[in-house]
Amino acid sequence: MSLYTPGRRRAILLLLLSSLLILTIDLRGNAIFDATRSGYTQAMRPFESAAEVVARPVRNAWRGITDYDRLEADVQRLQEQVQAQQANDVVNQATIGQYYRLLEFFDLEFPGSFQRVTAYVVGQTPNNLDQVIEINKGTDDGISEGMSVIAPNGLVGKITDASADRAAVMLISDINYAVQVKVVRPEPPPTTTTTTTSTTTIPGVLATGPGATTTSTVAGASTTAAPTTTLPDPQRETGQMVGRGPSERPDVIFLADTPGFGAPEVGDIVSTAGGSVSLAPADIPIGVVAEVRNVSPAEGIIVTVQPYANLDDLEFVQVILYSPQMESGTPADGTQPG
Amino acid sequence: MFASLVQGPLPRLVLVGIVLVALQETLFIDLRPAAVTVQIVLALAAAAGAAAGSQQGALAGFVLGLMYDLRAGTPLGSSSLAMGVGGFVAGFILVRVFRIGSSSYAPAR
Repeated sequence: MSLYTPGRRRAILLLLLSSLLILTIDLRGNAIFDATRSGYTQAMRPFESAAEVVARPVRNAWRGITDYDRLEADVQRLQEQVQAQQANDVVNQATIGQYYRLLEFFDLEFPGSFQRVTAYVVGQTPNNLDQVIEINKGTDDGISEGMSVIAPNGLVGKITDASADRAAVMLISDINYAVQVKVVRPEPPPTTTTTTTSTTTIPGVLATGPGATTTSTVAGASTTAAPTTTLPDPQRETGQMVGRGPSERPDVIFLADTPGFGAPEVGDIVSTAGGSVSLAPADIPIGVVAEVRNVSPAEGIIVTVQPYANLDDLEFVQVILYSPQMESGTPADGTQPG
Repeated sequence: MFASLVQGPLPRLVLVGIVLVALQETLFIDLRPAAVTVQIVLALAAAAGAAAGSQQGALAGFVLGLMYDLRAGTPLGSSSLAMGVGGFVAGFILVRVFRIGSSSYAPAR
């Protein structure tokens, strides 16, 4: 029997032409083909799940063989990073401790000086409008309305309603939430630079310049070469942070126009401003500036904040047992000032 | 006719093809010796051609290529064309170059 009879040749030619026809139709776009592809993908899913189960050990073994050197290098690098982070952590803890001791020494309030109650989130936001969660601690633990609620990495919201063993927390993303905040530019560690300048001074007058530049003076009106020490000036700008609803980041509005600070920039740190009328004690971190918008001359600058705390995945929170003076006179009906 | 279709090699080919396409999309995506993706579906088409002849190889490549295109998202017909040619060439080389008859390797009908 001939291997390539006319019938066989025709069959093979037919297959080739069919392939080209299908290819042409598919490239032009065809709803039937799209539906078939979608259905086939669905039908294949169980087989792929089974194949994944079978393939995983083989794949892991393969990666272990081929990527061993890279894995070892990665582990080494990560261990070094962990050690460096631990060293940094020790230094930071010492610095924070000194800072709090200093605040304590000058009798100033700081977030760590207030008692906290750790609570478990038992209920998530019930609808798409109110950004309210429920926690499993209430007035029995000293919680009352207006107290600030924080996650390990930043402000979460405030207590709006409290019963004996339950409390409702309005998240910072709620459109009714507002809090006084400050925008602070992260400064590098203070450095002392010594430069040689020629300065003419008058006896008894301390020459000062922009950026808190202190120049040493020499008695007598004379031209001298004196060392100059430049210290960074802690600058900040205050405003009001308001929630904008779910899946929207909060905004900071009513920003004071401080010429010394300049316009807020992306990456600036936003934390609570504190004060007698604020809902939260000072210096609770909230987030970083994610966007700066110049809306209109009347409204000024509006800053969008990327919160540190992940509001969509809260499990444990802490309530700071701090009642702002503004909230002390709150009527019993639980209404909260915005 | 239906009985011959069900009892023929095509359903078995489709079943084996489903398994191999699933493995191609899971295991062989990561298993890349010398940074080359192993095309086991193409290997099956070539094996069918080598075992059953160039015509059966082309048919197997066409079917397997369609299954692969449907899953991989490549333009429908591109892989069936390539695998059809692959199956045909495998059968052709085995018969014409190595002078191995295809009838002894043909699957039972």
